[in-house]
Amino acid sequence: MEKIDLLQGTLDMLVLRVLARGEMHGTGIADRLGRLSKQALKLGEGSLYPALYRMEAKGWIAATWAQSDNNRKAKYYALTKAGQKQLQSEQENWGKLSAIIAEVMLNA
Amino acid sequence: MNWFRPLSYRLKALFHRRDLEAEMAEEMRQHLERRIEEFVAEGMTAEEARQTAQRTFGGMAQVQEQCRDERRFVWLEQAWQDVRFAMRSLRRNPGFTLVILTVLTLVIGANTAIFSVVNAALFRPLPYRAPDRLFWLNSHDANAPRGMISLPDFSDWIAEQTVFEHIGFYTTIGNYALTGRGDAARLTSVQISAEGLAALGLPALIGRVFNGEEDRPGGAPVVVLSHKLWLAQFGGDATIVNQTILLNGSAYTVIGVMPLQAIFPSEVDLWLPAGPSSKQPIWTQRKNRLLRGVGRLREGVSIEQARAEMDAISSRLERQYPETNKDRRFVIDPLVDYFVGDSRRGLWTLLGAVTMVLLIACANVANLLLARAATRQREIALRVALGAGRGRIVRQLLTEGLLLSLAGSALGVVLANVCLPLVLAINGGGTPRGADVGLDFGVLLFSVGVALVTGVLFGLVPAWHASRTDVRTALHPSARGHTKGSALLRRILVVAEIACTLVLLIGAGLLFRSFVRLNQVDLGFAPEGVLSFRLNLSPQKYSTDPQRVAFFTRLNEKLRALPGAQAVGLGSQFPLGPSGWGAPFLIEGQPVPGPKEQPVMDVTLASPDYFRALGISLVCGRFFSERDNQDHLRGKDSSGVSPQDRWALGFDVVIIDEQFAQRHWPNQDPIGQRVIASGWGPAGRAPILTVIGVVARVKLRSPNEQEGNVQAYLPLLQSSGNGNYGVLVRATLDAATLTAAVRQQVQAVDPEQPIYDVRTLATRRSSAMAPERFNLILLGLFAVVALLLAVVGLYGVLSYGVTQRRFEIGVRLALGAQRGDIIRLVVLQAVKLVGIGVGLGLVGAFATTRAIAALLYHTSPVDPWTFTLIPLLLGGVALLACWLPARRATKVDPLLAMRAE
Repeated sequence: MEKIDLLQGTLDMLVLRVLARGEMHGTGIADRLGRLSKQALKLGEGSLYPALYRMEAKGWIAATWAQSDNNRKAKYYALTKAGQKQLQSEQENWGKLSAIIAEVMLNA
Repeated sequence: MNWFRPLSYRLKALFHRRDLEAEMAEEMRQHLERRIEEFVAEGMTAEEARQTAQRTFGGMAQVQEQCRDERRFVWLEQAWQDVRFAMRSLRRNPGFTLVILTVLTLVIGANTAIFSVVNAALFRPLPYRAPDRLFWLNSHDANAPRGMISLPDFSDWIAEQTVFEHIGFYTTIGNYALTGRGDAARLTSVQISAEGLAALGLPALIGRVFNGEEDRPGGAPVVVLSHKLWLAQFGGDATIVNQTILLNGSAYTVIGVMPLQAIFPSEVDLWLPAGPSSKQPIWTQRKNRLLRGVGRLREGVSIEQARAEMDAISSRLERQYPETNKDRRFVIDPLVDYFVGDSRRGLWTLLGAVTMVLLIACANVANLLLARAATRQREIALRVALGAGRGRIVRQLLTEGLLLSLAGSALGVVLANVCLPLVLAINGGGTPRGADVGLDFGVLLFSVGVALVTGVLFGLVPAWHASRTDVRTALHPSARGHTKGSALLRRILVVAEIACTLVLLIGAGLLFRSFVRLNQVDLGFAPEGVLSFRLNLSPQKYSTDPQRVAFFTRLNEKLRALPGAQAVGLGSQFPLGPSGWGAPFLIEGQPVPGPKEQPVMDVTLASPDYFRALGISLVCGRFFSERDNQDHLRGKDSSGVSPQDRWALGFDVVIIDEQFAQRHWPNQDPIGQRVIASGWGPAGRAPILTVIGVVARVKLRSPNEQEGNVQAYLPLLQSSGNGNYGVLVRATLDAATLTAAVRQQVQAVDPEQPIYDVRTLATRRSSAMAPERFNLILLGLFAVVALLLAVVGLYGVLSYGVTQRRFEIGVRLALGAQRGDIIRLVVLQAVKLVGIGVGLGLVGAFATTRAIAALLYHTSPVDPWTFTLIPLLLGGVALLACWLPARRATKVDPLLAMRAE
């Protein structure tokens, strides 16, 4: 399957959604995203990290170093309150947008 | 709340960069590790797994760079980068940087210094409470626009006025001898009413100021010390309060010390209440104008209201006392005018001039930076090609400019701080509000502001130039690193510099001519070789006329006996010294003039040798002799005459000046005519004076004084005046020896009599021209600096032009041009630039020198000599700048020049 380019804003929303489940490290988030979209949205994996750093800079997610499953210290990301709010508003916007697009596609 | 987390995140990134780098590397490494493990688990070899993992990840370096970008204060880091880069590039051309820095330091330093002076004089509020409510009070009549006021007039005014919250008066500066504490010292003093002090609103630093109880006739003798005196004479000892000191032999109680800023009416040592003197005969007469006033207007009262009320009171007094108050009005001016008044124009001129120099320097620096930008074109083009945004490049060049100007400003402030005391010293205390001059916040702000503006101005120039770089042509191996536009800009800058320099030079030239003329003014006397000093006989010790006469007769003898002494004169005043009095008069046998035309004569009491001591020439008649004394009074009945009028009876002869003779006896011999001193003496017995001689007119107050009252001299031997004398000693000795000898002789006559204000007449004359000299020195300095800058700028442009035209010169030489032709080429370019600059400058000068007309003495602001000679001078000096570039042009090797293209 071909890779679909993700807009920056959409990627943010997806990451926030993934983290809403619980904290996770970068590789795990990449896995989740890949699995969620059934490998359709396969990111050049590295491009996840700038997005993570950006969201951390904006205060939507917070990072800590903790023991991981294979006994190494790994960097875990978690959703913050601000991030939760952001996720909510992005979800709403996405809903409205997809409704409009669907309508146009159906009735144009 | 959502600004906090991002901010702290970025700050952390700023300060813990290394840790975060390590973390980031670790994080990415772990990601790759995991992927590799997974791929190996799926069956790939280690190598395949690694490659696949890396491929899937994407470009590690790029990802990391992007991550870094998310973390920064991008603008801050970029700015810091700009600064570091600018410093590096400035360090790479140390000579260049040093030259620019020196120029900027000097020029910004000069600007800061001048601004400090202007700031202190014109902008800083006076150090009193609500200084805009403070006013200076004087009288105005036909003879004196700001004359003094008599005590009775003032008392009436105070009683009737309603607009002032506090209103008080003060006297002219007086003197007291401080004795009983080591050496006798001569102290300056002012008498001021308690209300006057209240108006100023200056509380004492320690102790208190006098109140109504002390400020009245018979009040306790109290005195307040100035801060300076307190430190100098009493060691800053706070216990001086309530101690007594001996002033002129009488005990005064010190009740307080003034704060440092209390400088009113000028720097005096002692402050005394005016009240105790207010019953003295000389004070109680309405015609004796001894006082000036200071007042604080009530809140909400406008100056027009105050003036209206003053006019009303003046009119009433005029009606009530027509002999003394005819045409006399009270006038009020803002107090700051008293301190600053005349010097406003000079100060603004200096500020304008120094700003011009700053602009010229900026143009020069811009030129230099532009020249360098041309040579850096390759570097800039490379950076653009490598991906730097043009905006970034412009910002970076601007940073260079700002860095230079801020550094220049910092150094300039230091320089100004060091040089300001020097500048004030040149002016010899004549700087208005000089004590207030110093670097304060306003001045520093000004300096930084200047730095920012100039930095932007001359930073923009290369930045603009850089933004026009065409990458392809710039990177081409044969690129010569210049554009037409920049050459034109440099030429425009130089023309502007030359024009401004011309304006400054013409201004300085006009001031110079004016100063020379002032210096050549015929003073009416010969100041060279004359020592002058003053002494005030204590009224207690020398209370009678014979006592005073005895004193100065003995002093005269002793001084005459000094080796090298040629003439000794005593007088109630002398030219360029303390002022005297004016007296109304009438001419016997001529019609009485109307009240508006009442003539006044400036009177000097003079000893017989006064004229010889000063070198005043005799026009006709004779000088005073020993026989012009009081013998003529013997046998005359002087009973029924009050003591305050008796002194006037002694006079019976007068020496007048040429103007007096000219005005009142234009076609007759004035000798033998009689003048009536109508303002003196008891009613009906005004002294009648016979004219016995006519002398040359002297400049009494300053070399540039205009026409004024006629001058008259009365014999000191006929009435010894008030005991305050000026003494003149014409001798062949040098000033120092003479001063010591004079002090010795005065001591020999009366060991307790101090003398003060000991200076030669030549020094006094020099001091009288101090403001003009100050303006001339500074403006001259600025003009010379501007000239240097302009010449250097011109040199730069010409030199650059030669480099630009090497190809053309090479071709011409190859085609057979002579050396002279090439030189002519360069000179022609110079002539064009200088010509246009001078032309513009002349227009500018015509327009602006009008502004300094008030500073000029008998010199027109469009004086043709100055306007002709200065441009020639400038042209000549400027053409000197041609010499080196012209020589270089002739040395061009045609083959090399043509090949280089």
